[in-house]
Amino acid sequence: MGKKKRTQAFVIKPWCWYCEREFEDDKASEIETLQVSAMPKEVESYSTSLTNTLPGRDGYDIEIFGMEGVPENAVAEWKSRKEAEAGTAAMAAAAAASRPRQSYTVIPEADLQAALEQHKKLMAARNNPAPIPTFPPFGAAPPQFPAGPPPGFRPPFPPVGVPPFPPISNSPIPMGSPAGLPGVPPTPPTFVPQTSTPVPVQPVEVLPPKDGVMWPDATASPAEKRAQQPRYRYTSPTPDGETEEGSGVGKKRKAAADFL
Amino acid sequence: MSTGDLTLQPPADGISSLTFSPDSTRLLVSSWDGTIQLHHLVAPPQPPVIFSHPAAVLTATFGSSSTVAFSGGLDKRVRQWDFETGQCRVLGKHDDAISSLVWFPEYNVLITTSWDSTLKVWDPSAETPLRSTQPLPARAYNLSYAPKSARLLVSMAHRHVFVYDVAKLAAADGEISPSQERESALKFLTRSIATMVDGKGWASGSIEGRIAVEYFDPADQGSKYAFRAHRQNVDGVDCVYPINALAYHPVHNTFASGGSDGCISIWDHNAKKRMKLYSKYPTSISALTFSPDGSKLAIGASYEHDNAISRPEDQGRVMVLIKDTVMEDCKPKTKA
Repeated sequence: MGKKKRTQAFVIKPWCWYCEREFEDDKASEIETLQVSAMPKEVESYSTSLTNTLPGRDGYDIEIFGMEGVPENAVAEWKSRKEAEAGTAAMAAAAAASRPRQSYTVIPEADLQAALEQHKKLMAARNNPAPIPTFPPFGAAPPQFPAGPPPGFRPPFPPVGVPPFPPISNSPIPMGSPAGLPGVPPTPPTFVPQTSTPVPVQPVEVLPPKDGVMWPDATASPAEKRAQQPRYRYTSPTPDGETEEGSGVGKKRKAAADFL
Repeated sequence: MSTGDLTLQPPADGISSLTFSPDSTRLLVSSWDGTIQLHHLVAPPQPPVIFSHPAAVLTATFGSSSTVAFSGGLDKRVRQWDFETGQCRVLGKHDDAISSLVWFPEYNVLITTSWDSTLKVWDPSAETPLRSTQPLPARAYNLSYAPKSARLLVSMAHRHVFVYDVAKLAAADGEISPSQERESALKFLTRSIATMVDGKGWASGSIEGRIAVEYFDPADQGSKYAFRAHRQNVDGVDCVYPINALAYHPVHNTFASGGSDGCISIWDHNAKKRMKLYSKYPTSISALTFSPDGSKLAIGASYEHDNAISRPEDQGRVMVLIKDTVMEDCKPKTKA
């Protein structure tokens, strides 16, 4: 679940010719320009120069409203300046991103030996009919099966903003993305692709709002309808659940082990 | 985001219930993401301890101490948790999702209700925890316990409301009939209930923006009333929102209501007045609970899948907040 890379388009933001400030949108620049000049047209007569402006730009000979009326040569100059700034910044960013994180120092003999040993072991394991998974599954998560922490138990105090555990792809309930930092609203839960047989998607019939009443359905509660959504649907690991002990997670997790 | 509330790390999906420990130092959050999350209320806020279930959790409550809790949800199993060891024990199961559960410290029993239209009484210390199963006329939604009058209120689909005598219910080893079989004062599906602190009655909220105040004593039938709440005019349409959460303040005996409109109000049922309307939250109010000492109100805000929130970014929003001004906010105004 990588983050989507955002392509940044190069946009010239509205700016104020008088003081060379940039603004998020056109409206702001109109207002702000007036604040800089502190002068509607009517007061032209009793003020000879503007305040808060750059040197040489304090006259009334140019009439500017919003981004209209700014001298053309000034616009061109501004544009080239901004392009140069953005260009260098983008190039620096691209260079930083593409540079592989490698050190070009001489690899010590011992490291080479260790790597060779590891490789030999791996090759031997491959020829061995009984393969043993040598890598912890799912990144750095500790093995969840068959032995592991007590069923359904997660270690206390996961670091803030980091998922307590990466969601298991075969987990009976799809886990959403982790809760963010306190105060940061969490991103909406995303669906984890199912590696097992996909559940046939049956749309849950929910009555739309009627005459302003958000939930006109008088036969079922919102929670009951919500529970029918495929993502929340739960099938008991055993038909009657009699033999099941613990949290009921075990059965599902074993299925994941079989899958490996 | 509203000001003045303490923000705790929220779960990944909607909040189904909130409950404080008896000593008011811990908060247990149950969520549709299949977890219960234990918050230690210390400053600065710490991330919660998370205990996962194989399916969405609809309800959780503390036992007699803050290290023991019970939970239930869509996997139909009644679970007992020991937070010191992280151990979980399945007491037994219902035939459908468990909608609500309540611990009775005076009797050391747990009572659960389910969408399978039954109520079950459990004794966790016994070899076979299940003590009795009581049939109900419809799918049960909520439980509320009034310790002062030892009454248990059960709200169900089709507007059924049962009142049980807790002492009899806890002791019964067979089926017993409820002490009262009532019909909700509201015309629509009951969404939430809360019993008064003095044990005299209860407030109930429907999916159709209305709150009723009723009394246990049949002689008080005349004094029951209902009023409209959690409605707002959006583009000329009078929108009516479900009332998802009700909670009585343990000291002042006034109650808070939370709706899918994202608003929380404090009401005085004696004065028949609204005392406070907090600023609107960006998403629906899913759960409310006061701390037993009356100093804090825990607020769970998340989309209830009831059409009330339309913007996808607000549907994905989940918040757990603590408001610590409620001791003052809920104090009934004395007549001058």
